[in-house]
Amino acid sequence: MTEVLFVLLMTAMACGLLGPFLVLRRLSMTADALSHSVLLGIVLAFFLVRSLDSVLLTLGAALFGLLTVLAVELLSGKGLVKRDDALGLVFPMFFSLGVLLITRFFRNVHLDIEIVLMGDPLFAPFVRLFGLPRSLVEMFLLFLLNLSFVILFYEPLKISTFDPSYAFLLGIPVKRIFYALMILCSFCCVTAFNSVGAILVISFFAAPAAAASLLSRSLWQMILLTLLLGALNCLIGCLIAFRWNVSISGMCSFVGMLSVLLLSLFSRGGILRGMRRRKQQRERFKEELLLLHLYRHRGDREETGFESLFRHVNWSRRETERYIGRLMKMKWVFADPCDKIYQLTEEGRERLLLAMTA
Amino acid sequence: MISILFSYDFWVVAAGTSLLALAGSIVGCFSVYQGQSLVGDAIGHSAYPGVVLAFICFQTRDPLILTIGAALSGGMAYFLIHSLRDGGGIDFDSALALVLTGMFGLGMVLKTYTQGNPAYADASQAGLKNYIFGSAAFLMKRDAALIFCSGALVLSLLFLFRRILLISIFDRGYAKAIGIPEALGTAVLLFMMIVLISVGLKSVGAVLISSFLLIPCICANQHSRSLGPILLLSALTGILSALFGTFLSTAYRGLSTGPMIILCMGSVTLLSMIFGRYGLLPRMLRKRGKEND
Repeated sequence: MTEVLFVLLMTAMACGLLGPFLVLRRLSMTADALSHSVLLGIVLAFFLVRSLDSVLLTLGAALFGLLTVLAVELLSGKGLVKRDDALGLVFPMFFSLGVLLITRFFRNVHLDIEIVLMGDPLFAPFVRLFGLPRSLVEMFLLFLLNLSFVILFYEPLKISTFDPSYAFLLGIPVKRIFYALMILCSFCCVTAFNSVGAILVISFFAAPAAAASLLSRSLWQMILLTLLLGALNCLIGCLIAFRWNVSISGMCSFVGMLSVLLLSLFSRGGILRGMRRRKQQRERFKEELLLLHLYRHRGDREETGFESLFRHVNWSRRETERYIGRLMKMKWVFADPCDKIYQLTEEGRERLLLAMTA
Repeated sequence: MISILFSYDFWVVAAGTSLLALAGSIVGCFSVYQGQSLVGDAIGHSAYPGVVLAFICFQTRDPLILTIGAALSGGMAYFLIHSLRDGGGIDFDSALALVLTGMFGLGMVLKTYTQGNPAYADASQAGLKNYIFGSAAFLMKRDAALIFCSGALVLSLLFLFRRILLISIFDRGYAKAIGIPEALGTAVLLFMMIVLISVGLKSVGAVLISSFLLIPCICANQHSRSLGPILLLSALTGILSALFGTFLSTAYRGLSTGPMIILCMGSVTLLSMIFGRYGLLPRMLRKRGKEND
């Protein structure tokens, strides 16, 4: 069980290094497409190598992922289709071809389409290398590769992510960096296909990074937070999955989605805060409007009268009385009992002046 | 080979898939022009937990109930995507990927839950797997009837709301100016997409169903630039690919129907990209013609 958890954690770390760049460059769906079409690469490489454990298989399949991205860029670059449409055309075709090849030729080989997509981390510890689960070793190597890529090319990566045209002017090879990112990404997908499945890889790319983007103010902060949140997602997902004996990778990606939903609800600038802020703004605006009305028509029995005010501000009677009550509580307005009208106090006038000059 | 054309089973499957392709390709055009081509993919994946949940709640594999479950969870996924984007400050692309993987993950969790649970042992869940990769070969008359009804519903909705849809997709400013509720157009389109996707889930599968909406439109776009011909061409592409794909998958063992149809659609589209009126080859010829002048 702990070994399964370690495999997942290592995968989360390896993917978490690339995730922020994918999210910031809006390439999450491209990564999704890539992870699907890698299936065809795996099948074709399997035709040649006849083994699922070969390094050649990984290399061939990863190259195929790159081919997908190249095809998408080619189609959208020629102006034939929009980029999204090119994605939606290329990956279903490759995926279908992969599925057809499997169902036609490999019925009795351990190359289950379902395993490729969903994976099953529970099987990961059975294949071992140097006394450790093979996937753990592979993922660790991949983590080192990604780490060295991010550290070595930190500045060019950063600039070309946030401002591609500036990066181009600086002479940074924007295209090459993009393809390098895509190659690493496709390595991740291929390596993970056996242990955790393609869907979960995408979740590891997108979920922690998206959550981190809500919380962080700089790139390195975002990367660190992504790693942390990725590990957290794994841990929670694994614990729940072990407890109820359900799909581990499924649970981890569901937890990932939930974490982003919760963060976007409660974080600074999140949905709840935004709703509260808008409500406060609306209320303040209405208070000031009422003050202005009372000032403009001061002394007018019809316009500011107890019984007729609500008709003139054109609100419902209850709402008007609610706001008048609030203003009276602040001591900005008082009720004049002999004329039966509302009037501004001295503080009320000052408040209005403040609002008008602000 | 030819004897397949006279078999009853082939025609049930072919009718189902080609009706699905017809409705899908027409609705797909609108969703592509609204810039929602990848939304279908997310909805398709996200519909899966709805299927399993419906199975858990009602312990039946009745296609209608499972389809309703799929539609509900697809709609919820759309709501999540949009609230993440509009209020949550997450860009559209990441929101799509996030909801897609999260909901599909939930589907896997629920499915493994039913597998380990003896309460569901007698109501076999073997059929649930079909909703991921689809199994058109096992389409029953009942499934075909469901596809027919929902296809008719979607197309008549499209006919009723065609003006609102067209204006709100192609000219938002104008729609606002003449007081057409843009939200209504979006909602109708979304409803049609969700209905088609959840109905098609069983025959084409969660992973590939969105291509039924997307690919025929891309293909038609290579031949024409006005809506009427595009709709006609994309419907034709859809239906012919569905028929041909179904035929091939019936004729040869081990070729799944859904992927085969998509491969047909995709090949036609790639050819259109080269030879179509707006494809690469005519464009090169035009360029050369200009240089020679």
